[in-house]
Amino acid sequence: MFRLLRPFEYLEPSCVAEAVEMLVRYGEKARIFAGGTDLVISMKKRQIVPDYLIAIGHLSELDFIEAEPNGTLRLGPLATHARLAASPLVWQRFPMLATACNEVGTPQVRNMGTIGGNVCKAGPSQDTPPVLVSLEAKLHLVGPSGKRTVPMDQFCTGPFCTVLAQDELVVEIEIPPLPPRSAGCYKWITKITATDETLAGAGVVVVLKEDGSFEDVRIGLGSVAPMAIRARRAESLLRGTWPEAAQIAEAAQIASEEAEPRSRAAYRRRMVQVLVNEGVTEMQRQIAASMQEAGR
Amino acid sequence: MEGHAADNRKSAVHQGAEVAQFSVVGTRIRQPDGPAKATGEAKFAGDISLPGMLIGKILRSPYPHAVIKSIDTSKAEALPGVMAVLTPDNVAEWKTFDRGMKDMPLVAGGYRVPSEEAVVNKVARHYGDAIAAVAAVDEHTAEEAIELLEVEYELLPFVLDAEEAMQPDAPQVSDLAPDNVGKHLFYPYPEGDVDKALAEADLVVSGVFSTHKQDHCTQETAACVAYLDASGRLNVWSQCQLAHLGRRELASIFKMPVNRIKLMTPFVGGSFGQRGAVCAEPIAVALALRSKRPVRLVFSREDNFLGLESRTGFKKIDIKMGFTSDGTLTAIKTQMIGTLGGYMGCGPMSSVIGMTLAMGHYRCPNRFGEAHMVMTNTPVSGAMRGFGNDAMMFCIEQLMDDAARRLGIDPIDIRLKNAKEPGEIASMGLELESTYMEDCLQLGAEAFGWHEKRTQAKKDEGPIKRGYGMATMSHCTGAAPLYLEHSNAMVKFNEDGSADLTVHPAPVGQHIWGALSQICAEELGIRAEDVHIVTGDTDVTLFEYGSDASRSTYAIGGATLRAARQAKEQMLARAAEMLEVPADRLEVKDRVVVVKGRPDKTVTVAEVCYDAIYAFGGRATNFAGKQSFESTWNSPTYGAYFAEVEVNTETGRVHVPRFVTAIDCGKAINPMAVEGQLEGGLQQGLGYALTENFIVNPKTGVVETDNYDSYKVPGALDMPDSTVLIVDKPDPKGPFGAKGVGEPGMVGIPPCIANAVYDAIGVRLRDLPMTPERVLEALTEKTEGETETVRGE
Repeated sequence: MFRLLRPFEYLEPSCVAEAVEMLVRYGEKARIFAGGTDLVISMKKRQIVPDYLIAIGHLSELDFIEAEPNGTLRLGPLATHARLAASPLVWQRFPMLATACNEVGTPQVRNMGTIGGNVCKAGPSQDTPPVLVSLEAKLHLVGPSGKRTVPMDQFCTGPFCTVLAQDELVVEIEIPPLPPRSAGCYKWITKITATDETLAGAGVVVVLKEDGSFEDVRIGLGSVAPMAIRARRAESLLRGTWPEAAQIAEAAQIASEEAEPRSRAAYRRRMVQVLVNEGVTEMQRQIAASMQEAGR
Repeated sequence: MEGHAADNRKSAVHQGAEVAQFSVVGTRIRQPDGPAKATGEAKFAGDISLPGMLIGKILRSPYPHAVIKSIDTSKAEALPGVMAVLTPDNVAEWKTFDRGMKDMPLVAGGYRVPSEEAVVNKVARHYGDAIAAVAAVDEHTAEEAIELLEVEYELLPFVLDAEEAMQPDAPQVSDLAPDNVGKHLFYPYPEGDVDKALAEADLVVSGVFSTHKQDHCTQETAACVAYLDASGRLNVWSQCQLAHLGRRELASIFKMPVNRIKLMTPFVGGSFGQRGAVCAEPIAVALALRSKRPVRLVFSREDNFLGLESRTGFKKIDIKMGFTSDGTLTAIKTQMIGTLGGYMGCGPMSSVIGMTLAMGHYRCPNRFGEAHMVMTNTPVSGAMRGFGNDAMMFCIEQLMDDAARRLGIDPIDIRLKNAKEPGEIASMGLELESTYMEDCLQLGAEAFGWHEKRTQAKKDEGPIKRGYGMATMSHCTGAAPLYLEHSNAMVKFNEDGSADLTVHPAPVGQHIWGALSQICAEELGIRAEDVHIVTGDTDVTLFEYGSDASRSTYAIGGATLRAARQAKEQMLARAAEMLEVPADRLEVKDRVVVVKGRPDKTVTVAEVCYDAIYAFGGRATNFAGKQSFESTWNSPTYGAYFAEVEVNTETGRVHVPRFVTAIDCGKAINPMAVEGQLEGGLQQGLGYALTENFIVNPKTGVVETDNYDSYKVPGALDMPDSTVLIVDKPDPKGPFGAKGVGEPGMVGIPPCIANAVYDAIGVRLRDLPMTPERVLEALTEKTEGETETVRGE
């Protein structure tokens, strides 16, 4: 049930270092406040009752979208979903991430909500984690004892739980470039209405060898397990093969078994199957078509 | 004036309908309340603020069935700023109340529903039942006080399912219904021998259907501000759709003469039937009386889902329909089991109204219907847009489709074959004045491309299967003779020729002020903007039954028309003296009185009115009309609906890309307002059909869908490309030929979509909502060899 917000103190650090100091000082009583689209709801539901909000929305050092010449994409945690979805750097390099960002909530939420928040919330039904997991993104964290880097698939430890320490802050999301002959997509289905929460989401990356076989395939699943997961058994069934429709369907079936949905479980599993099948098939076709075109 | 219709049709000739030339009626005027709403100036109940005002909050039961053994209020009362605490024991002096409120003289031997519901309740009969309330100086304090109340519950066994509640060993929900059957009701217009007719029919189609408890999802939650003034009068800002009945109900609960209560109606952010009962009022008033301070009580969205009536869901609707081989309908037999929830409100009548309207939609000589309306430990059922007609039409229009298919008749033709004609007896036992269902079908089919789409071969679209469906419906305009249909209006001319119209509709967003100002202006011969609406205060307005049953334009408009005519006659009599001609030679249009045939001989309305008010020598008078109007008839509105759907056979999702609505609502007073009603109805109908679902946990009785994160209303992105067509032919009884259009917008939507889904995938979905899981399940059953046979056949 939604209730009134409890009183809290609103702190505005001048830099990341000061934000970390505040986290050290106030410990469990403090929360980082960026877009607030999710935190405020949790506060109204009294799931989180912080005494201090450490606002970071004004820290420009955390607000960037940059690409390196080798294709690596570096995202500041304050990049909003709306800006990521509209950024040519994102669109051209990782269209699947733009798709996922465009699927988050409604325009209002996309304008306010940040990718850092989406990742740190670690809710089972966020849209960007399955994509970031399949892209093998890395998170750069800063705490009182310095920096560290955590691969995306080791960041979450359970629903709403991460390895982020109480006094740490995500300062960058790094996405490594994809090899040649690769493509990725995000497939999803909402619970029922167009702007509804995601019922099941799949980030799919396919990399082909020159001979057309699957050099690599990565399948990130969202909303169907306690956290975003890789469907590794399904991946390994396809890796190194020249899969036809039946084999892709079998892999999709295995992916659906790897999912651990809680509510609407049978339907969610069935949707995982549909989404993975669709995603892998489409990416295989897409890369093959562009290889054919390049060879012509 | 003709709208989209061609007027050379047989039905029109049969009607002898003349299309009058109007100057105000039929125009797309801007709504008088538009600027106030657009600028935020409009005051809703939650905007009312008074000096010293307190904020109210409600404690609701976390259990579906429990006795409140005790409530320790000491900590809450000790909290500074807490001014009143209501508990079941300290509100016992006030009477229980009747959520239904309506007087229904012709149903079930006089029908006011008894209720055990108190201001706050000693026995919680459903999850979320109000068991205590507080008033405090601000919202934080009120919320804290609620948290400090210490309640001792004695848990009772509970029953959530209507059919289980009818079992002999089921827990008893209410002292009023030992067997849990709150009301056992019958279709009030039975005819013939239905069993014999079914036995003799060439074809019997049947099915067992179910519908769900849709929430109204009013944009504004329930809210009320109340205070007792120094003279001991109770002042209440109430959203009640039936203001005068609301005042009567409060007078009864709090044992006051009605004229000690001033009930004011602010703007109301949506109602759809939910404010047909008292909602926030009893608790707000009780808190104001206890604290002797003004109190504002605004429901949270959870309060709204749990504490108010929502649509009556039917656990089971078992219908059999008989036909001759040429498609003539010969029999309808209905058995309903409805879910009432913990108290009896408007829920029981949903069955009677639903059967009445739907079973009387087509010509049919043998009809019988029966309903068991069953009490359960779930939130209360009531009236919502359609009032049971939605549920019954969902069944009947699917069975009509089945019959058409089996007999090899086009779905449109089988409906036309059985459609009633003017002069026949309509659904509520009265003579049918006008019906242009044929026009609706023709216009709708043409705009939709029905015949082309039905005959062309379907493209292969992979997992997407495309289908086309249609449905019809009729709905009452006002509910005479089942309900009282009493309205009053006063019209007075001012000295500059403007007029004030005093009426009391509920301004719930349906643009009723505009329609009434148009009716008034048309009759007075002035412009719509010349009419000011005086409203929203029972101290000032005459008795008004209120805004429900799609009646406001028709019945309040009827009273308005009569009152305006009376004022106009007075004005023309004075103009006749001024122009020295008999009054019957005068006509008035666009603010000018003209002698017929003598366009040069005129006087303005303003001149006549000024002359009457600022007169000397004993000639001074203020032209004013005051008329009562009781409509003892009702003019059914007819509609035809056409849907295109895409069913994804992999995901089970139903997408509706295109929808056409054609409506016979008589003369459209303001076509823009009619279109608004129908598009809003389409959205609400889509939600009812596909996305919305009121879910009660079967193990705990907890309502799982108590906010919009779990209860899903379709949004703009879910809306189809929608076309609204208005037949626009006048009804002989309605003011300037108008009929009602509030409810019809949504009644035909679910069966239309269900029929399109059948066309797409060949399976019948007989349970609302048509969720993806149900679609997939039905497809699985079909592929497992059940061909096209349907459950219940």
